[in-house]
Amino acid sequence: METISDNLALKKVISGIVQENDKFFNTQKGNNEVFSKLIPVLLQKGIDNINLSMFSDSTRTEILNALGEECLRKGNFSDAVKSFILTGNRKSLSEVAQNYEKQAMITEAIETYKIANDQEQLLRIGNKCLENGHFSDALKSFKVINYVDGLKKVGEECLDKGKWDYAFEVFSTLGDKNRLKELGNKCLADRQFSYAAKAYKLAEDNESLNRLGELCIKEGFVTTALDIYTIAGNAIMVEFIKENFK
Amino acid sequence: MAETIGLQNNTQCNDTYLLEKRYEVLLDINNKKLFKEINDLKQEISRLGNEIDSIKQSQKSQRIPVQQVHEPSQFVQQNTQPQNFQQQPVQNQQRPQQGVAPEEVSLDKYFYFGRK
Repeated sequence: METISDNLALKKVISGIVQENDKFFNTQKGNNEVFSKLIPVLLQKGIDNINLSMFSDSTRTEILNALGEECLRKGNFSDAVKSFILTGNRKSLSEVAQNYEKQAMITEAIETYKIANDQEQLLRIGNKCLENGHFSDALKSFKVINYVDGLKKVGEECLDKGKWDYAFEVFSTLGDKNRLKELGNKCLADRQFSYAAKAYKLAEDNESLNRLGELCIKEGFVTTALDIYTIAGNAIMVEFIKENFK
Repeated sequence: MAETIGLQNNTQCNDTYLLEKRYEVLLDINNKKLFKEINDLKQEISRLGNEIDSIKQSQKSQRIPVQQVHEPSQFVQQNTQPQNFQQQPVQNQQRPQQGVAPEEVSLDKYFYFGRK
């Protein structure tokens, strides 16, 4: 019984202290004035090492936002992102992303726009990346906003320029079987058998898979041929390889 | 934005992504704190281990002279019965200045009975 009453008393004391702190931070002085004194000390400690659990949600959010602004001002973008993630401040996250973009840190910018859910900026940066030939980044940003036309454009560009992995990612995301078959043919011509097999498999093109299997046997890639015939469901050829080459 | 398709679920998706990221950051911060605490504990344990070692060593160095003093008496106590006769002179030699108690001297030595 004593411990319960002690706990209650302790809770009362703590809640009193918290209320006092809140009053202090909210009314006694202007917030900016208080935070301007606190922020440098907190920054020195680092966002990972500070404990703000004693403050109310609103005070904690204000402190973290102020910390984020200061980190952004000092060029510490990763800590700024952390602060704004913790407060859920999308607008400021977008600002950080713009700063990343100015520093030509495009991948980080896209990731931050993604967290901020800034779809306009993602579309803009995706198009910019496509123009500049940064297919991977364009693909990332278009995938976030599900921009099918943009993804198709990236896929076409990748097909033309022989970027088989990105092309495969685009057409597999879109589920475009015709383009996947075309990709398979191009990979086959380029002797990229594994990409060709993957593309034909997704395109469900068993005829092309069998053709690829024959080519693999001719080239001496028996194990690859076995895998391809297994995917194509060609039981006769699977048995033939198992009986004669294994 | 008219050409964008499938955006209807994106807002919800990205809310989830922000939430996911938030948990990631919180977990990261907590992990760092835990690592720091574990490292502090390890340091404390090694410090205590060193302290224990030094205490053991100091105890050993204190024990050595004590054992040297007690060893002969222990040896004497262990061999009481068969070497009783030989012991007495040794004991007498050890403390000649302290005198001899009457019970330590055999009756034959008190009186002279002449040659037999």
